[in-house]
Amino acid sequence: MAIRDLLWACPLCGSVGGLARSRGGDACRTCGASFRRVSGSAIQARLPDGRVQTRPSAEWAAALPPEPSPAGEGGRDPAGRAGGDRLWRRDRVLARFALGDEPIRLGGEFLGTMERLGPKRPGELALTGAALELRLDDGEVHRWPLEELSALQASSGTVQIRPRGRPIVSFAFPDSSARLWEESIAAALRVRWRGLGRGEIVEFQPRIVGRPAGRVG
Amino acid sequence: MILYPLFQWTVRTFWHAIGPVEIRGLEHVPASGPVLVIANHQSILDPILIQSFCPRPIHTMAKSTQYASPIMRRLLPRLLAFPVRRYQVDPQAVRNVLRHLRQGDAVGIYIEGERSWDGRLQPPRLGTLRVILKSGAPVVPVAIAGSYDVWPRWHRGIHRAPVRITFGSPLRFPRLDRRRDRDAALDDTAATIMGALRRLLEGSGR
Repeated sequence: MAIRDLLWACPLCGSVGGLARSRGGDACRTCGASFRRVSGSAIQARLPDGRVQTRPSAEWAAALPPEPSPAGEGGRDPAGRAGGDRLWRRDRVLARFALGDEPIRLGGEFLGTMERLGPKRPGELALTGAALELRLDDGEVHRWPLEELSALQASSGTVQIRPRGRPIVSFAFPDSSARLWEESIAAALRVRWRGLGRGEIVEFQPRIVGRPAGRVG
Repeated sequence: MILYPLFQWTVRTFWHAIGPVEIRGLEHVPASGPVLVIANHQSILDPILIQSFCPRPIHTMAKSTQYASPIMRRLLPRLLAFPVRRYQVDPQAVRNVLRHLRQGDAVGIYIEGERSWDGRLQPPRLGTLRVILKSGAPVVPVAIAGSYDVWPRWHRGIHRAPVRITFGSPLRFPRLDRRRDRDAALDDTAATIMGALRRLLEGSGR
């Protein structure tokens, strides 16, 4: 968990995914401003010229764009409305695949189940307007078309997806922001669903639910 | 059940090292009978604080991945937490909610379904609204403010900061047995509960 998980873009220069780990906090690779938590949840920014700004974290977060855009774009990707292979994001990840379920009990009482996650496997995750593609360093490749994802959520410092009918996959982003990836996948899914005529997504978890276009309320 | 009061006592006794806690509206918590305690979620500390300072034991819904370690798998059920699966509809979690309510227990659910990234109130989860309408149990809205300043989701360290927990007046919704009726009532139910939480948070000055 890091400031870049909250501030998925630099609130000063707008660089999406611009913050990277630095001593005592995170720093923007584009404008050079550094950010660190000070009192409570306030975040202090130190600009390259030495000026300092301290604001509540919610205020910094409110300065971010409404949602991430495809890589290199200032706004939404018009070509992406029907899907397309336009790249939104690519980053190093540690991926974990759910291997099965385990029961949770109190004494003899069955309370429910939990998913058992496998080992961390390094690789590269790419998000396009059409799919998520994971290339593991051991050569294994997984491709999940966006319309086949049934759930999406950030959990602690990871983003987890559930491909339809298959176990969940969890991604940690050592050099990037979990929230940036959650917001990017959500934005790409919204565009994809609209393009396929499935309407507006109203919920991403426990399953992706759409409200048909034109329905009010 | 021995562990639960011990846990409450420990938190109440030692929390002052982290910061002051103000509790408001405890008179709104029914002394007995089924009740849903529906709270906002700012920090990993919220269940610890709400369960410790609420006079009634609360059976709280917790994400199943919190049970991953052997210690937590033993500890959480003894602190009256029960698991809910993510990424799929979890009928067992719903059964647990309804069973506890039938037994006259208090059940706690964080209606946003996850911790807020920036401390602001997030939209409610549809599944939680459906459970509320399926049960017909009274809902006590609980606003927790300040825990985000102590330990926000995006940072690991704990800072000293005041926390205020406000229990609101019980809200009543009809018990709706048909899914179609529940779906029709989702928007109004969401507006009522989130409106109550918003007012309680504003009353906290945050």
